[in-house]
Amino acid sequence: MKEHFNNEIRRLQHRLGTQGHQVELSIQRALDAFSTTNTELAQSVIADDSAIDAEEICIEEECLKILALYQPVASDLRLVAAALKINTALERMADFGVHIAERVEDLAGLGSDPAPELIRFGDMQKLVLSMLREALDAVRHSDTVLAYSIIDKDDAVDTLHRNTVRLCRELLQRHAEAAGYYVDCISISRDLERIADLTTDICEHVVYLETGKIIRHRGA
Amino acid sequence: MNKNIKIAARHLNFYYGEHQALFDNNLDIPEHEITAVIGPSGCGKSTHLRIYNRIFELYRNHRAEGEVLLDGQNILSPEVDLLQLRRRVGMIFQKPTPFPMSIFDNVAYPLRLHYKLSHSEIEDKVEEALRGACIWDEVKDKLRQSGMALSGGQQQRLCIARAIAAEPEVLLMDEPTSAIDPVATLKIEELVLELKKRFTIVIVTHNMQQASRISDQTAFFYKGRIIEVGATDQIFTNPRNKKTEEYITGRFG
Repeated sequence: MKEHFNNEIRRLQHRLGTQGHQVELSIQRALDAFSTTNTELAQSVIADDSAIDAEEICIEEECLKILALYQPVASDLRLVAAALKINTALERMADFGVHIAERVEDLAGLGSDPAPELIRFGDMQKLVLSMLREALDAVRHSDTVLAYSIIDKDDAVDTLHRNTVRLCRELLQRHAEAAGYYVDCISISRDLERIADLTTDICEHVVYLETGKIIRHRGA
Repeated sequence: MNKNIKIAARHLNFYYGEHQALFDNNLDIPEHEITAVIGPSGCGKSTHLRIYNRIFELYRNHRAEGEVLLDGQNILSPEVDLLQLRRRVGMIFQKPTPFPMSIFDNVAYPLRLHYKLSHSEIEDKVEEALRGACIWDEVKDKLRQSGMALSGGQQQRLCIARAIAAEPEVLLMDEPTSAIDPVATLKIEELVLELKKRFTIVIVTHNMQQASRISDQTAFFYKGRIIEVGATDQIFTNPRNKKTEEYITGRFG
């Protein structure tokens, strides 16, 4: 009986890991598409999202099946509960990736010179992607130390987001003709900030999974 | 909020002859709550329970040391009236134990033993106890039939009726549903939840889901020691002790 259960859990962990990798790739590709104005790549990100959606449902069903058939308790229960939540967070992250990809079409319509002063997302992009990658490692290794260190980085993303929005507003006033570009940039900055938020959510689930402590809203 | 402690076991040791089965058990049983006692076979959970009404004394060479305070009074003291103690602390066993007599007489038995009542008073109390045990509707038309002829689940509820007829303060249940099918088990669990309004309940169970479904507090026993006691939701979501975790998740030994 326990062996069956362990196999189910291993399968669940494996699927969640694979889904995490797919989501990371999807976001990476959306950001690449944006920085190179590659509409073809953007379209493929949008098209591939349905596979991520379908897998989210499958993982959720897997979790519900384990809950119904094995009635796990203690760390086993926390693992399935955390998997359910991480699963949802990953799917929503992928949606923000799609949202970024959808901006590429707008950008391409603005031609090769969309605005007199361009917005650079390099630092924010690098930070958010590294947080996501590390969060997936934290899930894989149930590493709470790593999880806490990622949570601490969220403030830096928030600062970068605020700075970008402020800059976009200033440039928008100066270059009204490029309003569309700057509005898209604000939207992308917000998408990145939301991806970082969901990454910290995942890290909070890792802490719950390992310690049983719910650390959400601790600043509230 | 401070709970009213109905039973307090203090530094309890127990011996089967030379063999020590319990080691320095300390446990508080809060009033009007259900305490579940869990642990692997031979961990001492039934042994511990059987001290609370001194039923172990039916056997020679069984010896308890320490204190069990029932409302502050040590029931292990030799002056305690055993008949009175067992009226106050009733017990339900693993296998239903109806007496070889009618359904009515099974429930009337403790009433006749402990109280001086008229026949009509006994009739009223028998009905009340059978209703309290949620079996009245099933047996009201056959009260003169033998209790032994009922189904297993009904027999167990009859035994619960017999136990509560004596108006105890505490009900000890030693794996009360292990010999009963799942539907009858659910009925008994619902009954136990109902009974906690009137009684303090301690239930020994091998069924962890049962412990998590019905109890307020859970105590985990291992090799005669109490390893962990806590609110049932805490024990089943985040036990503090590694042994408890291993036992409830089935990763034992």
